[in-house]
Amino acid sequence: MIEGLRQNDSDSLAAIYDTHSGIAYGLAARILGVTNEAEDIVQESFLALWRQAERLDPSRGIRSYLLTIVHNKSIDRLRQRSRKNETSLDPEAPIPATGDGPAESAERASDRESVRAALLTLPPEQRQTVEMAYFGGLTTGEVAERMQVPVGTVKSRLRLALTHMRRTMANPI
Amino acid sequence: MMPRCDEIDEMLAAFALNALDADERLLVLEHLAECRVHDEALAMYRDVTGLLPLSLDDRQPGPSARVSLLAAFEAAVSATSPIQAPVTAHEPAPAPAPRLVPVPAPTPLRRPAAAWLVERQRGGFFRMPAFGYGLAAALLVVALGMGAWNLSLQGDNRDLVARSTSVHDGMSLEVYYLESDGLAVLKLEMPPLSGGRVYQAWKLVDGTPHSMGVVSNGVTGMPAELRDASAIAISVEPPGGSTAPTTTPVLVAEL
Repeated sequence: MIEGLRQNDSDSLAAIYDTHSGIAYGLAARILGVTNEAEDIVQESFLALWRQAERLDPSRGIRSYLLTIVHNKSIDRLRQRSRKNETSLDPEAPIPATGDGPAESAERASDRESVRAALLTLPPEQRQTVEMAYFGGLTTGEVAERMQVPVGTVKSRLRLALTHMRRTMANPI
Repeated sequence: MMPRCDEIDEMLAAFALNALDADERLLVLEHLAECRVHDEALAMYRDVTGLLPLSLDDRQPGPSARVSLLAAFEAAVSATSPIQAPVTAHEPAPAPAPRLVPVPAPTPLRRPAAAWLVERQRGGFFRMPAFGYGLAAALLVVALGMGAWNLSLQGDNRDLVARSTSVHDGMSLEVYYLESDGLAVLKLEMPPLSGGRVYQAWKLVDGTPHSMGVVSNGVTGMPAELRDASAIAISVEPPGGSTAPTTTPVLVAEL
């Protein structure tokens, strides 16, 4: 796939889009909460992935690169507009899937369950901190202000949360 | 004051989550450019961060989004390869116009120091550096290498944009650019200068050098706009720097 991108092969781009557009759009929509904007971000992200094809490490997997791009662009857009999607801060609010996407691979389904389970094992304040920082696009200072805690506490919670999740996913219950 | 490693450790998870403000992000970036102690921890935080989107349900964009993307892609490929027909998609020609403006063609690879070199060869207004290295006789323009990234910064598409490694004397320049924050970090390894002279960085835009300021050996962070720049060049200047280059560049990193 990566080699196809490097060769400017539109079939490769289309295949990558078909595989990853659902999760990419889901992430953009979660952060921005505006459908057209999220679609624009997804388009920009796939094109950015193509432009960076020469720099991609095939061993890492395309999804990782793509979602980093989507997240960065979504957060940049959010911060540029100085707008926070309040509804996205509710960790319990699901975003319903729309349309028929490609069948999810067993590996991705397993990863999905693992991540969801790891998030649920977090103490509520850590989970909320991660939600606000990652999906809400807030800086540690902004999270600290909203949660009425020191910035150092926010940073510690993020550190502990990611470490805990890593441990949980490596040793599932 | 540069943060200590333990202070960086506290910020690493937030860094991986893109939750630091621009100042702190630059501090971390500058530290990581010189310190490899945090590589493993950062890689772990990035791995976990990369999985967070999986906690969401997939959500499919509208059907026109795919068509729009492929049309924009074809337009961008055509723009970058005007004499080479792009690989034709098996999709039927899309009817709707792409919603976004097609991606502009990337700046063709130039030899940014060509004008600099030409002036030098004409014996123009650039003086030769006075120090006794063989640098003045060999313009160290090295094509951008796609070698291994600094592991600690791997994965962030906005970071490392250029690396130039000299073939002489181990000199090197790495440029990290955070486009959305308007920040650049230059990591420079150069021999010390005498007589109060300084290294000065220039960004080349359409062949014209624009000062980015005096830079120190080691890591220097600065506000910067590099989207239109084709290269970063380092020259030797009198104390305090110059408004225009007075010597030929000793190192150039193409962007």
